Amino acid sequence: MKVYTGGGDKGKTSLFSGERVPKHHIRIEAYGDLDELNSMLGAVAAYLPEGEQAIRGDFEQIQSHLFLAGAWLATTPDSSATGYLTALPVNVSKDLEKRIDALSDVLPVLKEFILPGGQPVAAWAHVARTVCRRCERRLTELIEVSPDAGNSELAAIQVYLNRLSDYLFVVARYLNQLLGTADKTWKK
Amino acid sequence: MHRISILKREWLDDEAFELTFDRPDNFSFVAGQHVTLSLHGEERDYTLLSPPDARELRFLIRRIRGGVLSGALAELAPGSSVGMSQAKGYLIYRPTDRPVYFVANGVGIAPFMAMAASGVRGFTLVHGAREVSGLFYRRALTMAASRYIPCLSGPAQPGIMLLDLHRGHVTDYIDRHLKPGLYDFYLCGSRPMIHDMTHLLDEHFPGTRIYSEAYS
Repeated sequence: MKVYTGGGDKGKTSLFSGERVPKHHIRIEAYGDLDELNSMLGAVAAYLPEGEQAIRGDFEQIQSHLFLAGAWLATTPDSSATGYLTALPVNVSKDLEKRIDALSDVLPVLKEFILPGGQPVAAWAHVARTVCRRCERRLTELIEVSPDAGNSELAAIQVYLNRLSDYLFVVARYLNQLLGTADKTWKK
Repeated sequence: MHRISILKREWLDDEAFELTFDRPDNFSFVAGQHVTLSLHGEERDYTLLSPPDARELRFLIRRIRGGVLSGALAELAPGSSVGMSQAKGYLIYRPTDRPVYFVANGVGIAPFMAMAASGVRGFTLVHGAREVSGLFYRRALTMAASRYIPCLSGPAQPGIMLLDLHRGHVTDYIDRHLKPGLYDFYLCGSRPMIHDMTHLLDEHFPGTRIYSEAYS
């Protein structure tokens, strides 16, 4: 099967629910940003140190969850196409919290702002965190301007993205520590 | 990855044939989905013709000139086995209160056969081919569709009498005959057809929903 048909050459694309919308439509922006985040996670994973299996495993799960989330964002809420979508696992945000706690347990307590950066893999994790925050902002906008306000699945995705940003922040710190680089604190 | 064995082959015209396989126990799908068939490292996607509750799996395959896999599938003996992936793809029917149009050319008719066999009704099918022999499953689809529009783009042949026959491409039929309105369109077939239909619908039928899948 070929990837291209040229159906989008004039600036429109199809949602999963079939509507044709301009490519700058808020829904496309929202799941496009999720795609960017997913790709960013792939890039971070590619730079993970050998043997760092726990975070690698986390990332694989998260990338799959982001696919599920993207499909929800690409579907208008009143469409019968929602019947083909898969909900995020019930405990997905709670599970992230457990991972945040586990990684935080081996890190020094944070008392000041830190500068994003350090080891390349950690620096990329910080970039992924900022992309994740943008995804969250897009989603809140989508929920505000579209008929998605009562969509409980989008509400669950919103929580998940909020937690995922925190997780990526902790991952960045954890990787810096693992690779022997201390947090660099902000100085006025 | 599943292993499935060929049960029988039936030629529909000089190039296209239907291949029937046994069905693995743990395989499920939705009408309109496709799988990847593989043999000796060659892979290609094919849409299931069968409805989801069928005991056997049927595929409509066109033998491509120089195509390694389609050539092999055209000649493998019954009992031979090939690899098959899980079902995938999203050209699946979404219930709607809008008029539904299925548009297909060539072997792109396969997902609509699966949908019709699974009980989808109330659709108009615009079915394109060069000659009448390329209107695969015409009789079954005429029975299932609310309206069946055959479109023949090849030279007119004497003695061809088809109800609602349109001479020309499927895009030409839609452009000339579809009244303004909001529709749900499902497109499957060649990339030029998908391309042209998509732009035609975007331009003349704004607000229409489009679901499509292109065959190479």
